[in-house]
Amino acid sequence: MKYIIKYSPIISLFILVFAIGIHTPQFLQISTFIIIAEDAATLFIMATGIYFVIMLGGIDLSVQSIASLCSVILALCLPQFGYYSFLIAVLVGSIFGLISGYFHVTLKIPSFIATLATGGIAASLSLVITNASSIQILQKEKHYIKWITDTLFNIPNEILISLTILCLSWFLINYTKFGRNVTSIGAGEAVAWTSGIDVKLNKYLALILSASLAAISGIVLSSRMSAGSPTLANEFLLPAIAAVIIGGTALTGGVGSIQRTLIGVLIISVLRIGMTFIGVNIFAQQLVFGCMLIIAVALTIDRSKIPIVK
Amino acid sequence: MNNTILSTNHLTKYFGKFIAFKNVNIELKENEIIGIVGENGAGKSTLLKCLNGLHQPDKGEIVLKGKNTYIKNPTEAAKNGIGMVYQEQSVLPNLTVAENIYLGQEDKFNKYGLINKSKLNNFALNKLIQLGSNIKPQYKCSDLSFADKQIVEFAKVLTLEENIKNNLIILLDEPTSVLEKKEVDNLFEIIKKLKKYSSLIFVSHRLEEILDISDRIYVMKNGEVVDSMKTNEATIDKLHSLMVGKELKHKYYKEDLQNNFQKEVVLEIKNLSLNNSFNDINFSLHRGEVLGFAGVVGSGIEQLTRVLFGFSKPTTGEIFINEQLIELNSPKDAVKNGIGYLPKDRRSEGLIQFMSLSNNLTLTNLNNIKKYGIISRKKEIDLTNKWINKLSIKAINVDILCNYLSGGNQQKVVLAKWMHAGVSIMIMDHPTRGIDVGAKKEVYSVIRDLTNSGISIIIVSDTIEETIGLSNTIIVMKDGELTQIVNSNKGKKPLQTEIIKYMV
Repeated sequence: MKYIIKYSPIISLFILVFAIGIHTPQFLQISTFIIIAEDAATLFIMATGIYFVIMLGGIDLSVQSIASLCSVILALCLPQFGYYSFLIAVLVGSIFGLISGYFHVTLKIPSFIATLATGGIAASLSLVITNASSIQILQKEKHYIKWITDTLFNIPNEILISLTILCLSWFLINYTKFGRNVTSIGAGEAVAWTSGIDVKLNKYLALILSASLAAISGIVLSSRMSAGSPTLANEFLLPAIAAVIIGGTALTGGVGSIQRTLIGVLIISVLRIGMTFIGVNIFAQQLVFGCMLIIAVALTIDRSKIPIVK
Repeated sequence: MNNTILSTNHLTKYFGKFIAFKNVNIELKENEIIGIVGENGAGKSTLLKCLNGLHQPDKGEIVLKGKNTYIKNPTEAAKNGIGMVYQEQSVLPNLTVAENIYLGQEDKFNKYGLINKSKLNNFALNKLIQLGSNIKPQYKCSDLSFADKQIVEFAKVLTLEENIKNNLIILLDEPTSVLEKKEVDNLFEIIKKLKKYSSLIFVSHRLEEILDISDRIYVMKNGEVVDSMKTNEATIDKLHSLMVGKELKHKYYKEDLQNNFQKEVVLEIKNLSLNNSFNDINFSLHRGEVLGFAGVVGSGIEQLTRVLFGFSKPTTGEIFINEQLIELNSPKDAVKNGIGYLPKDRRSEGLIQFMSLSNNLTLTNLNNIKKYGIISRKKEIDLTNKWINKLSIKAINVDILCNYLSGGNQQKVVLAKWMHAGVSIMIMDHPTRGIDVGAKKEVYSVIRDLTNSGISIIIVSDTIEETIGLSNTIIVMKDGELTQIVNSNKGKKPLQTEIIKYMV
């Protein structure tokens, strides 16, 4: 039973692919898989950020708004600052991470409220600066975003970007002090604190990292769409959180891995693309993700240890 | 002769392998106060919790008014007229006095689905008058003093008599530990009033109080009732010697391995105070010294050790490490200054239960297992194996979750974790609590090894016997004041009664 739960994400992924394949054989093509990977790429970058915060025992609800804001900033800056625009966008993202950190760590507000508020600020800011309209990336600026939209040996660069982020995050969580500390704090904050770990600093770092990755996912997304929009990444938050949890990272923190997050993202993307193949109404997608999130959490938590839920 | 209202028959309670108390036979008569005395960890509090249904005994019976009774939970106890005033107060600060007094009994004031507030307040007022208190039922409990909150607790227990015909049984767990003298007198007045229509069990460290208030006394030691007597036959000295036993076990505490400490002062405390906890404390800790603290609950020792590890900031005073004035704002600062902490509660502060042994062990110093700036798993495993061998930790491999280790082995992992961090001062808060005799001996050996390698230790222990056995020097505290510093070097060990006399 323990093993079934441990390997259930990857088993579900295969079952899903074959089930859709049996229903619609065209699904099982290399080109479909590329589409899935492309779709998964932006979601994965965002989910990775959330993964770090969830590992800590917190949650980051600000990511979709930060991603949208950064897409707008990129589109606005490109004509004037060229390649520097990418840096500016990531910088703005990380500042919002800092703000979340200040709310959560310094003012001691629960992370879900702190990041919800930060997200609200970011969302409203992007609506104000764009006047609630999307901003096109013009033809003459397209060469700046070529490094994202091009392909290498027929593989879209955005897939390679997210693979790079996968490798870096894997290294970060497994081989650095920061990664170790994040895991320890998630598994037992009081012990980590009494062991002399700088809990506050690590929480700040995780939230800044999450916001920066959200900014990167916003950049990739806007390059793909050739536009920045204040609502660009709407509907990303639920699938991103669902992906981390479905992958098997415990909502309470301390347990999980980046590879599992990848599996979770793939499940979400296969579902998303698969549903269009089968012909499920696109508006019903969030319904499916919502149900999956609840099922995944219900399966993985040990309720006997949790007497009170707030 | 009064009738027996409550008795226990060979009552026994285990926590895993650890025996909280065994074969306890006590008897409580109508309108009687019995006192239970014993050292920390003698099993007094757990016994009361069993009578109140918070814990269930593993063997033996509780006989209530002649009937064998199984008390499932505190609600069940309340139905049987048993109420407890807790050591840690259980008053909810956000409710009013009246709401607290009738917490869980709101149905009595139900009027068309709403609570009849004036009736509630009137009922509560009656209880408060009964206790001779002038607290208003409308007060918010967060505004009350500690002593007043305790009166609310008493009033809460008194409401139980509305539900039963017989006498109430009131269990008091260290009710005086944080009260001032005047408040204690007031409390005793209340208890004397209550005695007219109830029976009470009174647990305390303070022997004078037990002698003052109780009719009969039971003495507990290491989970067993060693003696009982009428109060007029008891004296403080008699109770002392019964509580702690007589012999000193030299071998048990590895005293032959105890060396004299070095001259060098590693930690110096000057005029340290913390509001409401301890006042103007001065002492020095030398290299290789074991400094034991002795005192009852409420003496301020617990708060003092927590200040020394940066959990809370002192109100005034100075802390010097190696003659350098330092500030301890958080445990991080303490660790940076070479102080380690072995907590009383291993589960919540010592080890991350659902993390592997190796990851727990290296938690305090990840820089030590780095290679080219990144964490080397190989170095981590080698290091963990080194400590497993050195402290003979019994674990099937380095990746086992700490949750699966025995109490003694967990304690050794906590020690290893701090030795890995390279600390020069260890604060040990009840290092042998909840571990078996074999593991205790091993912890004692480790303590000797540590001091002989130049580490200094501050120790707060469950028993005075252990404090004397392990320490070079003993600091005795009472009510937040340092009352005496006693030499306890090898060959000069004081008697336990010499320590206790400064404690109570």
